[in-house]
Amino acid sequence: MAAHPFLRELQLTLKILSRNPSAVMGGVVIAAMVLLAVGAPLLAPHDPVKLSLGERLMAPGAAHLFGTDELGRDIFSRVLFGARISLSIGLLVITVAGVTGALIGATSGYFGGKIDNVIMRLMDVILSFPSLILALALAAAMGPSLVNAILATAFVMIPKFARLVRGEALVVRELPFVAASRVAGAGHGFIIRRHILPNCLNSAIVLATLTLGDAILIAASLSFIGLGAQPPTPEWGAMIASGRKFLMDQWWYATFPGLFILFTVIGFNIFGDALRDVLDPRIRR
Amino acid sequence: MSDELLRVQDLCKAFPMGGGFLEGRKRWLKAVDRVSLHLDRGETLGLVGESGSGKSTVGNLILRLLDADSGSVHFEGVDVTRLTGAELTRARARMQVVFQDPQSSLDPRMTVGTIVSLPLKILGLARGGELRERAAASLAEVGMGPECLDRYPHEFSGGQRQRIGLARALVADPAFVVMDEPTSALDVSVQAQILNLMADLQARRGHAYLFISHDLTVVRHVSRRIAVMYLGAIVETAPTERLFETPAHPYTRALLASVPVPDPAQRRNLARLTGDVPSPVDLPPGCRFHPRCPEALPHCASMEPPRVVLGPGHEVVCHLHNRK
Amino acid sequence: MNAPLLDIRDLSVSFDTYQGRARVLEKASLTVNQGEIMGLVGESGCGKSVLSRSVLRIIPTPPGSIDGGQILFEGRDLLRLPQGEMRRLRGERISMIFQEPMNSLNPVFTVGNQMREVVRAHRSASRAEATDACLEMLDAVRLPEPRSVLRAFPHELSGGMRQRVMIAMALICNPALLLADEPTTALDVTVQGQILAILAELAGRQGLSILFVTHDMGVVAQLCHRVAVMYAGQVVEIADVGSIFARPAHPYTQGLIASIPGRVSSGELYAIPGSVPSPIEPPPGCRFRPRCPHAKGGGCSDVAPEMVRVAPDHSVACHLFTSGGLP
Repeated sequence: MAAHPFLRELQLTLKILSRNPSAVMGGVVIAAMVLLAVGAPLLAPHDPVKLSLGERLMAPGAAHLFGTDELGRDIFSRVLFGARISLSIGLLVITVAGVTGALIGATSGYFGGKIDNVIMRLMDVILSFPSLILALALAAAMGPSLVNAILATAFVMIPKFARLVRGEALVVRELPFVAASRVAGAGHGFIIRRHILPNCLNSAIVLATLTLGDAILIAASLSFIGLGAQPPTPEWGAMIASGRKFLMDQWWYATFPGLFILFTVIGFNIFGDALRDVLDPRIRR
Repeated sequence: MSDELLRVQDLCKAFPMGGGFLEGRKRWLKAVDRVSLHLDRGETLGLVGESGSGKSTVGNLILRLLDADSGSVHFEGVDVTRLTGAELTRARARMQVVFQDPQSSLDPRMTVGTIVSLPLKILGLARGGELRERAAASLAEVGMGPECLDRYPHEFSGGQRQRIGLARALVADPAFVVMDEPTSALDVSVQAQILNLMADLQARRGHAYLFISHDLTVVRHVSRRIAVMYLGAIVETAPTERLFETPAHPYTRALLASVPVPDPAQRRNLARLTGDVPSPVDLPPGCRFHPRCPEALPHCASMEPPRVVLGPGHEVVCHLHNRK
Repeated sequence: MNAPLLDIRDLSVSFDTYQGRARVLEKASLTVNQGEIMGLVGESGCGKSVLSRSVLRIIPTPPGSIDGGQILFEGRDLLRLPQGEMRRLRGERISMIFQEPMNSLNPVFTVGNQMREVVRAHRSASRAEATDACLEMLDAVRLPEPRSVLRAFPHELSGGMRQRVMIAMALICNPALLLADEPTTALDVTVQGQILAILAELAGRQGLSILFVTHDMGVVAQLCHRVAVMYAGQVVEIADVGSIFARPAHPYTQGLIASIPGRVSSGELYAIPGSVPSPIEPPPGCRFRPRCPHAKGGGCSDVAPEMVRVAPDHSVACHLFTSGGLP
């Protein structure tokens, strides 16, 4: 009761989430991934980049849980360290895309009219390309590096956030509490910052959770093609790329990083779906 | 008339309808058509009308939430329709508003303390701890304790939320408050609490209220004078008791007769008018009420009705009273 | 007197919420007689809408559940009726109109299309016969030019016309009971008057019974024959409309009537202090006790008051009237 009101809200959200089976499932998967990523240096039995040519392409077993790759590196250790990279890529992409997209969308929706038209047509242009192809073209143009891959992926995700937030902003700007602030003399900046953005936050968070998987996938795809993480960085996409040649005989090489991508993406999707339900104020009370 | 606080003169506002770029001719919805009214300090003027009468638009025009097409709004001697920037902000410090829906008139993401102190913050009238203190003081005036400061709007009932809305409106000590259907979403017993509170605050602090409502019984209870709107225009203005005793406009009479009186001993035919309120797009020529008017004269369909003064403060816009 | 058309006995309904189990209706009882307009009044959240919806068994389960009681309609308990029979009853013997007529009509079909469908769902009729029935009904609710209304889409009609279409649709199969859930709340007062006049006429001329749910005491006074007042999920007083207004017995009813503006021309209105209790943790004993000006310790806070008869057609659930005063 004495806690800060925001904390009480958070507590309630967590309480409701904990009663939602799919939220719990998604949450457990995500939590496991985060734990693996954070604890990678402790959990990994081997150095993820140390070559050991004597142990090339060993099958999964006691020594190497997930086997080794063509340079004798332990795949389990590489997957663990890969979780760090993939999750941070996902978070970075979503943060950059979410913040930029939300600002663009809030401005567009709040002002409406010509400004809205121009901004939204620009967003439509970006959306009219398949996001992977556009990210690929951008990454290729900027040159192969992890930072460029992150920026390219973020760029193609901006319109999703912009459109969502714009839609919400169109609703929020008509609500009486915005009028009340305008009567008191509030300027555009104030209203966008204090009313529009906070009220779009819920759906932006849900979208962020739902698209985090996509972001990881696109970034992995870029690495797979060679435009993202560069060797010897243990990135999941890059690992699948190099393991692809061995898929027929050494299935474990590409399979384990693939499974981890799969679990992460599904985990975030399930959690995001549940979050959408839980944050819906009609369900809350 | 040194007591006059607000004078609205010939206010007009039309909204374009449709008019997408494939639709050709734009049609205009005349939401407010040459509305004039005035308000003294510490007085309550009731503005009554059905949906589409433009009563809320009048409030929004006065508050500059909308810009008028023509006409003037003199507030404390200054025409606020022409103000911009800092001057407008200064005028706004003296005007406030309370809305109908207690659900959406408070930002769900802010604590009550922030909501109530927001006008002070925006106007730069207070900062830091003073914001909180004055919010608490304002809440106390509407009968709510300081423990509300750190809670969110959804933790309160409709009546309590409307009190919070009142606290926000009054925190910067305005001279004038637009009450836009402030009790329409509330239950009667709660409505009574809010109406009493509003009367009490007015008596103590001397605000003037423009009380916008569709509910004649509520307006009668709170207002000294009443203006009746129909399809964007004021058709009759009169002191409250006079309006109820000798309504002059056929629309006012029909409106009064349609109110279900809470007394089974006084049953009557409530169906005094036929048809719905027509759309304010493409108004009928002549008197805008003539298609539904039970007393319409032949020339009502062609000639605009004149404004006739029937007594002190009693004006009607109707051909029936044109005795020339 | 004959047995009532609708006899609701001790109906209890609850809803599951994140905060706990909300007992929305607690042993609510009321009757509706043949040809009678029964008013059901109360403030928001008192359970009056849930009560009317329970009659048709259209409350969503879960989260809702009917925990006990009986709803006797023409002698049969609706709560025990098989789904198929219940479906036949809906629309044919009992129908319902709602507050928002726009949401109750399908926007992509014409009015005629939807009305004919209702007719033909309940009896075999040719298209022409169905159309005739529709025209007759639209005429009965005083819609001008019924033929053009049949051809119109819902959005082409005004709010008042839509509500009249809804009434016509609800009555087209000649039901015995109409459940009206705040049907005039969304309408302008001049239009409300027209709708109320139609309902009064239908009840008077065709012997239709109406359970009229509203929060507006003015509408009740003008339209209803008898009134049930609900508070926090319970029926606290039932009487003929004259007694309710002239001699309200329950302190809540007294407060409700005293707080209507316009009865005294100015001055302080009576306001019931406090607010409606939460249905999750209602106060023990009498649910109105925390706000009641006459509450006494002991009985009021311990024992829920039973309905007692204070006059021939006037019952009240309040310890002020229980035999021998307070326990």
